Amino acid sequence: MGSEVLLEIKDLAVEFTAHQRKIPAVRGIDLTILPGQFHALVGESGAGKTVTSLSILRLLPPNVSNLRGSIKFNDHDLLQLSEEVMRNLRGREISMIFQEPAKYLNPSLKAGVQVMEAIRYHMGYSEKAARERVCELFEKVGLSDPELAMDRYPHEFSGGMKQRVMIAMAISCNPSLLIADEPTTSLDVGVQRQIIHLLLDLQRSSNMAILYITHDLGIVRYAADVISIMYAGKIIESAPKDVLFSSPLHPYTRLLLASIPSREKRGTRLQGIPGTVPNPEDLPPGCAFHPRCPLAQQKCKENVPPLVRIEAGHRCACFFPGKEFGSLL
Amino acid sequence: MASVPSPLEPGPNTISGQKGLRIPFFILLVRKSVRLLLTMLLIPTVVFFVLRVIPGDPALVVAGFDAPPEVVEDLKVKLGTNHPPLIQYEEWILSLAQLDFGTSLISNEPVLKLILERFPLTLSLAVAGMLCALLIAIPLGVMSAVRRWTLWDYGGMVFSQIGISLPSFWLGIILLLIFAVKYPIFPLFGGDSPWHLVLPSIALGINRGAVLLRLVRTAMIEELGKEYIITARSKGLPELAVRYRHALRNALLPVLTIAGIQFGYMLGGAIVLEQIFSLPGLGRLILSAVFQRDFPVIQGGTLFIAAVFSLVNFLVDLLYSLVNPRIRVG
Repeated sequence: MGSEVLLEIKDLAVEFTAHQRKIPAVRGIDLTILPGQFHALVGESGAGKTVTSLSILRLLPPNVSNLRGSIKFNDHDLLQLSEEVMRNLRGREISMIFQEPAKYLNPSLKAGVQVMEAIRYHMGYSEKAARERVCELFEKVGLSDPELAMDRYPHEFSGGMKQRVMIAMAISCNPSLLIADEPTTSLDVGVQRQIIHLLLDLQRSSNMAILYITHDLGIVRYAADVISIMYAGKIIESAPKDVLFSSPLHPYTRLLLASIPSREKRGTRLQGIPGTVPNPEDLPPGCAFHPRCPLAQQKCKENVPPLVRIEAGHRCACFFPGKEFGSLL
Repeated sequence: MASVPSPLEPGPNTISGQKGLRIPFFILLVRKSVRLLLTMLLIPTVVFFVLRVIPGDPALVVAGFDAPPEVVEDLKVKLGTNHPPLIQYEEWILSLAQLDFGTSLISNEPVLKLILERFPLTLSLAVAGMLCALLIAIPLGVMSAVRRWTLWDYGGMVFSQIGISLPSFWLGIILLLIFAVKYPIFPLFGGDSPWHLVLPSIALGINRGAVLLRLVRTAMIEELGKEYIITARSKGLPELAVRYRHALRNALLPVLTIAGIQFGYMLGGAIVLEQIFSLPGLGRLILSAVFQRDFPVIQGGTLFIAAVFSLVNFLVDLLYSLVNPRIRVG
């Protein structure tokens, strides 16, 4: 793992306009990914995870009214690149897999053809060479009978296998960053494990960094190197996995961790987080989490806590990091 | 925490574990063929009874109202109308089963021969018209969808509105006046070269193309909003490939179906335009038969067109399932 930075997001803010209302989906986030790193971005739906990932590829929908900050990839600011240069990066250097492979695969093109496209376009392979490469890829992602699989249409695969096809497509040009947007959410639990396992294998064998987006802390427990927690368009805590699990600081993180079922907690009541995620159109003032936070004070309602470095690699945006909940819960 | 087993064990994974979802094309073919056969039986029945419901004794109409009774009786025998309708129906179906459409009262030639002589022209006019319609609808529809709510899109919509409102026979006359009379680029009448088909197929194509354009636009807008488009872009494909390779492929499915159904109407439109452009096609044959009360020709011609119409829809169905493999499920 090199020490240089692969992706560095600084102060990224994305605002949409819909029905004449401004929706701040991402409100100034910093995120750094090192080459070959497995970085998990965790948050509830509506936290801005997907918007963040789509901004990296510059594939945001056209109703973005305000885009601020910088996304440096190998020292080039992606937000400043021309569309043509950007297009050459997509699929070749940065690629992406999605939550519902059934929807994200073209229903009327054969699996092989869809995987082949990027290879042919970016690497200039001939049809024959591309087919061979697809065969290799299909084997790599665990699709048995690659020759047969190539000529099948997406609806002829199960959910897990569709995701494998997506993964084959995404890694076809050996990208240095793979963005995985909840790739296992729509799959069965057993299949989820297989897919994560596969992603880990690929990450390790080809030193590919992964930005793994999920709402489920449990699922990245074994895989992630670094975990960032997102809430209402901001990153509220970021730390190496072991640190985050052993000494979480932000009350939201701690409540999230308490809500994961595990063997040690067998027999006890599972802890949920009271309240719901705020509507991005109507965010509470101060810390966006304060209405749900057991530690909230007057200060939290008035001021936005900055994301500060607590120790090397561990950042947290809370006025009372690590404070005991005491009898509050 | 250390005692928790790793959840990352790989599991079994085979394609063969999946049930084959694809219904064999053969079974589909059989199903659709049975349907076609039933339609083919129904059409002559309808054609027969519709002609019988029209008031007036055909023999009397053909011979003239003041013709002597023995001439009328003679004609009745020739037409077969001297028997009760059900007997007539039986005879008609039986002779059809032997591909015998009867003989023209005027020229005494077999009806089928007359039809087959004229049909190629009508068919090529309809095909050229459809081609013209698709050539208009697809590029303009894609352009409208991609640049929606811009001047391009409004231009396309205005064109479509005008095209839908203009009847093709009127457009045919105007085209004829401009491009054959005022500027004699195209021939005024006759049908012995493909050159003769240019103006009538444009007249046919603009009208149908205007309808299809809206369909292409709507379907393209829908497809461009789908998730797989994001995938295609995330692969770094150029926009043209995203539009034409990915979106249009799916957008064409509904368009193809409608185009197939419209092809039948295209045949109908061709029949009208044959009159205007003096093309010796099937339409002119039937029309002159109507004027001359040549019942076997009217009957045979109508039946023939209806049969072609169903056959076209049958073929469109099959084509659709080939283009869209999901249709074969269920």
